[in-house]
Amino acid sequence: MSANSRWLRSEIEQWQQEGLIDDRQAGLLLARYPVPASRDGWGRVIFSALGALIFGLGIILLFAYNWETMHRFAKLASIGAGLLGAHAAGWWLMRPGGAHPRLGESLHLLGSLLFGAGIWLVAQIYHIDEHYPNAFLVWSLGALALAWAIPSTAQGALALALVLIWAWAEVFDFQQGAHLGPWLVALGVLPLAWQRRATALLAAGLIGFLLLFAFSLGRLDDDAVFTALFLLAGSYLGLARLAPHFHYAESAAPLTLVGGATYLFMLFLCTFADIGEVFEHDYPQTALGWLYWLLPLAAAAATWLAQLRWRPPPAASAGGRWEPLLMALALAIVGYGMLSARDLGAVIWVAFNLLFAAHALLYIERGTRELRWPLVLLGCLMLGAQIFARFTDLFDSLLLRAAVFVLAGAGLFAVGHYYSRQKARQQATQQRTAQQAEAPHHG
Amino acid sequence: MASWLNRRALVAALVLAQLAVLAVMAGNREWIRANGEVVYLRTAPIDPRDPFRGDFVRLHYPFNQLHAQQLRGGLSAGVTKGQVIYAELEAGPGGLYRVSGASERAPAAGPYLKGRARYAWQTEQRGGLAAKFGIEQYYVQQGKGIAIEQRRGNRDGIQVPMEMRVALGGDGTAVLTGYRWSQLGIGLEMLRFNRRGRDGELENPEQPASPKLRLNLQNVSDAPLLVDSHPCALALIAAFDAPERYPPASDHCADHVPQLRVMAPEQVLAIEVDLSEPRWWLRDGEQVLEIGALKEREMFRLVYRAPAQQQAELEQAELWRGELPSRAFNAMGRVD
Repeated sequence: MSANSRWLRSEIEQWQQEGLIDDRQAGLLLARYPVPASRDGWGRVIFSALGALIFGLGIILLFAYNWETMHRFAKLASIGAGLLGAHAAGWWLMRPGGAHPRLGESLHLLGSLLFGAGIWLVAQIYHIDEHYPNAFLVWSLGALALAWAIPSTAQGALALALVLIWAWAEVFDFQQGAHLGPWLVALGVLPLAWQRRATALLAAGLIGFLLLFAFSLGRLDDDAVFTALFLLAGSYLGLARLAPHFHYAESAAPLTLVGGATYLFMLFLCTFADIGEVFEHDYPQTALGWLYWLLPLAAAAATWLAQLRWRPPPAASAGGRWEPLLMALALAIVGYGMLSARDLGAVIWVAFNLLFAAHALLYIERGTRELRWPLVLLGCLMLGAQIFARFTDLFDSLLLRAAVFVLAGAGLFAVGHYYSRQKARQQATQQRTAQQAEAPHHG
Repeated sequence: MASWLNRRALVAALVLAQLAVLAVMAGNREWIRANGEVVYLRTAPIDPRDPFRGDFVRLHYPFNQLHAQQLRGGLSAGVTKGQVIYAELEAGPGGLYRVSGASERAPAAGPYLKGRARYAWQTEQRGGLAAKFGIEQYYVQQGKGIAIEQRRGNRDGIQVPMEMRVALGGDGTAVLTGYRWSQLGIGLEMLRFNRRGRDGELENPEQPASPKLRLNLQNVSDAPLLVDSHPCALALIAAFDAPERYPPASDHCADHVPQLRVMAPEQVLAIEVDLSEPRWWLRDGEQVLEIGALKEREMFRLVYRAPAQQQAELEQAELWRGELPSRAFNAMGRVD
């Protein structure tokens, strides 16, 4: 249930208690704003999975103690029996018509945790000193396969976490690429989240994909990571704009959140003076290198060009209308830079600063018009960060610095004042509407 | 309904697959334990840069660092990171085996270990090829590692090598199945050394350039042992290069008669060695030098080598067999 739905329900209850509305009217209001059905709410997944996770970790620690008095066959039998037992119980509870499918899913999760415990236990019993990241990869594949078969969001989350651990170990412990990682997430986890309408898993998967892509590309060509992430973030934002046309329109939220945060952070980095040098690098030498290079470019181009065919709903404010154009322009500049592979010089730095400032001002405009204070805050923070960042870049003169700060402060005061006026106008309008609605009752 | 049944069958199959993965992992190792050839491999002196971690003991063997003369076939030209290598084993006294050589192909006969190169290596590189064979850690019950660490000793005292019991699979896969302790422990003390300044001159010109050491052998078993207390039982070898890198300049130990001595349990035998004496000088190409005249970074070990089987052992005590290397040291007083 969203925050708005919770607020409305508590208000309706309050109005009933105060006698403002009767039961029939309350029912009509609730029916008008139903809570959307979610197959995998936060609470259900988190609490059932948490219990299984902690229990499973306890089992792992128990065997890590490595009791000498316990024969190795007894240890193996225990873990095998535990694994089979947990999965069997889960399988039984999730039968058609079963009363406790969620508990069954949690038991399957426990079974997958015991699978991982089993891998480490066998390694411990036989003193196996192989390439340890392989254990995480095998474990994640086991969980991912079950995630699709059951299907289960919790198993998908476990698989995502394990893939991330595997990739981290390969890249940072062994200085090797983990090229399977991004594909496991893109083809295994994200489609599962989509199918299950699991917004949390989708958000985690989107973040995971960016990280894994960066890890793997960094091993091949760390110069290309910046532009690749920028374009991937842009493709997330493009997909978010196309989301109303999908069967899973709620996917817009995680796509916007992850894509927007990454995009704005990368855009901020682009406002620094040496950004032109980021684009100066060699073209890839291998097929894999070209794949990493072209994929983000293709994804960004496809998701934004597709909007010519599947147009997003028109925005209510000027900010909402101009923002996509600014994003498209920023992505085009980055795409051009990536293809040209040369230092684009100071012009790019100026362009990115203007783009960043324009984004900030649009957020402020949209936020004040629609009375969305988080947008206003974001815009103000962005402007403030840009001013501080340019503090030493641009202004040697204390007089100029003082002037900029005074202007910025005055601007923030103006924003706050305008926001308050907008809010007051809205409240006045609401009061008038309420009075007009009451007038026939008292007449 | 059919879809549901298919899905449930798939879940059951995947669960069995998870179980099968564990069964294959354990079964493969269990087969080697039951049917593989059993050998003992002695661990190398403790490198204090490998601290004991948590609930397992880090093990290091002499063959984890293969010098150029041990590499055969294609390996002698160069090795890529992660390349599979096969280390041939040859038997020594007491069931202990040592690596005689390594190549990129499995030997046609005899026991061998399968491992991988940890880093890329080229012929002109110094320091040898670093390799791992999957037997470099031994899990113990929580808390028991401390006891092993204490028994193994530390850099300041007597170090007792572990001798790992290893079962070998037909493809060279090694499985640790247990361990025993060497009957003899070894310790090294630096009694005298002479550093060189930045200009290459000795800090104490009136003292010899080469160090004086005391090698301590201790009987850490429960029964008396026979050892050779003659200084010729010791050999000076390069620590991280082929032992033949600096052959001895003198051959006066060639016909030495062992001075057998019975060591009671816990007894320590101290042998002082002054490396400035001509008998310890080495050959470096055409030159004959003491180690104090070599480059600062050259590291050496003193190796105790037991004599061949002796008649005396049948009457007095068991003759300790094999070789026992000391910690690495150099002429400037550094001891690993």
